Amino acid sequence: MKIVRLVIVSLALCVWPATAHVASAAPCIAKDTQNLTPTTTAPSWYVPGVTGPCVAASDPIVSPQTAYWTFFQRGWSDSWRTVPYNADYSARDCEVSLRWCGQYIIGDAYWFWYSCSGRGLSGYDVGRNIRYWADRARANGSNWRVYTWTEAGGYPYGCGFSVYALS
Amino acid sequence: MRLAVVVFVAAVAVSPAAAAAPVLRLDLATQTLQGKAILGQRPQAVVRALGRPTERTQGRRRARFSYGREDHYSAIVLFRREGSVLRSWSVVLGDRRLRETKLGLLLRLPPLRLQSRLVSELGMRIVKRYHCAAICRGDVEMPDSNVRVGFGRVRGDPPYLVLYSAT
Repeated sequence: MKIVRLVIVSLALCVWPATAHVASAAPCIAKDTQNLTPTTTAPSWYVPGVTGPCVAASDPIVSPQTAYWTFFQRGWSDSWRTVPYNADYSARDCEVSLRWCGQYIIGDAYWFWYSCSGRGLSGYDVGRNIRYWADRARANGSNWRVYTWTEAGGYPYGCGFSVYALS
Repeated sequence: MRLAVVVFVAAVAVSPAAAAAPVLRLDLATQTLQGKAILGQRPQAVVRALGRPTERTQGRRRARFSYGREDHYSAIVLFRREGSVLRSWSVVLGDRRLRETKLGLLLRLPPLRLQSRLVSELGMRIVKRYHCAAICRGDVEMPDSNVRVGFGRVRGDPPYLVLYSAT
């Protein structure tokens, strides 16, 4: 029995420093213009308000005239984009109420709620994901925007987010 | 006891299931629903063809008419502004009873079978082969037209077909 306990303690001591190391080396969001695969949830290591861009570009010098995301067509999809700091506002909206935040994002609160909650996402999940992509946009540069989209034909809306560069 | 039976029968008779939405008839070759053109139509024309929507979301640039419960819809018609008027550009069909003139109950077909029949029997061209990633989806194009058909399913939701104008 003592031997078993000794083995367990030894194993714990072996593992603990590695874990502590990972925790202490707080990750940051590096500039990455290649891997832009959209997500519906932020990576597990992302902590909103704590994990930030490694080197943040300043937010673009544009003042949105509205909190609504800008509608644009991308292929046969309906898409919506916004600047990082407006995305942060939307993230906050979603954390407060997933039922209503989609009005500013895709112009349709009910459909946004239906699509996102139908994928098992909570307002916190959606908000955290939007904040993650807002930070990705900041890390990439001032011409980067957060966007979301539907499949071709305007359906379905998948509650996914990513970033792209304005040309 | 007899009263309970009467109440039960009466309840069943007026339940939503009993008053189910009519089965929609689609003709992909002529792009008609219930015998009427469905794409490129103004909202009033869609109401004339399909009746009053169960739910209506209308903005300045876009609108959506839903028929049936959102989690069990039979049709969703999407409009976008063209010039000064809203016109339908996409219709999503999600009732498994949907009957297509040539293919019959096409939403009951396995997706790959549906894809091959759209190609072999209606002469459509595959623009995006059916496959499953975050969602399952395929897209085909009508011959000599700017209309495409998307089909697939989103986790947990019934299979759908979306007929949309690819202009």
